[in-house]
Amino acid sequence: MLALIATLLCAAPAGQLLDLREGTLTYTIVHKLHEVKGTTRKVEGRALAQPDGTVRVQVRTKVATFDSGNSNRDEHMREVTHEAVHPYAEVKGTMSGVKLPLDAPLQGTLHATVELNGEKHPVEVPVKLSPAAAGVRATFSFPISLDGFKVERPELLLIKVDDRLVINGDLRFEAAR
Amino acid sequence: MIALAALALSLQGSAPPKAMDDLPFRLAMQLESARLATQEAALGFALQPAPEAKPGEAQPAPAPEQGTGDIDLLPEVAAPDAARQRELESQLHTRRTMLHLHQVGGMLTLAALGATVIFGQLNYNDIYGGGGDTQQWYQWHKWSAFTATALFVATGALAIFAPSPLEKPMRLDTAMLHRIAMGVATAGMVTQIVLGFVTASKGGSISQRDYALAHQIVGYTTFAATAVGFAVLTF
Repeated sequence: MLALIATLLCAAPAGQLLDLREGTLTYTIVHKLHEVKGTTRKVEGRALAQPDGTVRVQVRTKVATFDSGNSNRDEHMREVTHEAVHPYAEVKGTMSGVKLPLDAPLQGTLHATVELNGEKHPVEVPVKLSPAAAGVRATFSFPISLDGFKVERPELLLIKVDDRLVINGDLRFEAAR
Repeated sequence: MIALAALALSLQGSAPPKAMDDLPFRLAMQLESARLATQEAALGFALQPAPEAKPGEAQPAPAPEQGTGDIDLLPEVAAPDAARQRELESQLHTRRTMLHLHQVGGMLTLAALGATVIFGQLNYNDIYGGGGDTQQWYQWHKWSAFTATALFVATGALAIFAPSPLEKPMRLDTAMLHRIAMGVATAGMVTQIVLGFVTASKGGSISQRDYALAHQIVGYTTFAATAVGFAVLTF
């Protein structure tokens, strides 16, 4: 009897675990002379979709993997974010009202904590979820303040970049294997 | 692992002898154990050994804390080596200071080269363009050239000798284009120094005009290469 109950409990999913299969994260910063985009495809992440519709998400990437088209600039970004000490930029958060599998696109807000340069700040991230092949595609965009994260703003020709840095993401999750 | 052991006992149907005495309690324990086991299994950590992680690399995460809202779904990252990081930070600080000065030096060099080209053209016009060979621009050209050369060397040295502790791939990007352009400019500067002295030493000879023309062409090329090296960094 006990074995049966335990077996049934084990069979019932406590939540669906999703792994990040592919995706890109891009940051955009603006300098008086130009706009710079740095992109990485080396993103790792997981999401745990719980039966009550709550989804817990953790996504992170190595700061060193961002490519802005200029290796010196990438190195500069690594310096100002103290990448040697804080190698990862990370977003962790929860989102509610998500029932998987998705039937249709869904807009929601991820109540997240963003970690960069060893600093953590709460951020409300508007996320668009849409059904994707064998999973879910999540796209989002949100701004952060470089000063807020105590990042010494890079400068070119003695002009600092704007404080506002926008992070865009396009991630595809699939059920964990 | 306790959860797994409890689950295994249940699946085998081999309850301990005193199990039936406190059935409700044991049932509750089984339920909780099974729930945790399911969670652990789902996260893929339960049966994985814990490999040693190098600094900066991922290592297996502990079982997630329940109900904190700050669950770690990914393996934790090992803390970097503190002494190594201090050394790295120090080198990066030095590098940043040197590259900051490199930028300042670059702007001054470009300005000095621009002035040298202008004074050089005025000098050329004065000597070979019907200006009467008054030599009124000669000293301006000479000293602006010396200034530009000194700035060029110092600015280049700041970049070349800046520590570069972070690995970065060599590839064709705007930083590489900057280096290529400045390489051309360096070759031009060396040529100009030689040509400048040779041209000056040919005073009165017929060939001086040819040397001066070569000096002029190389001068414009050097200035253009420096300007390109400066401009590509703004993209």
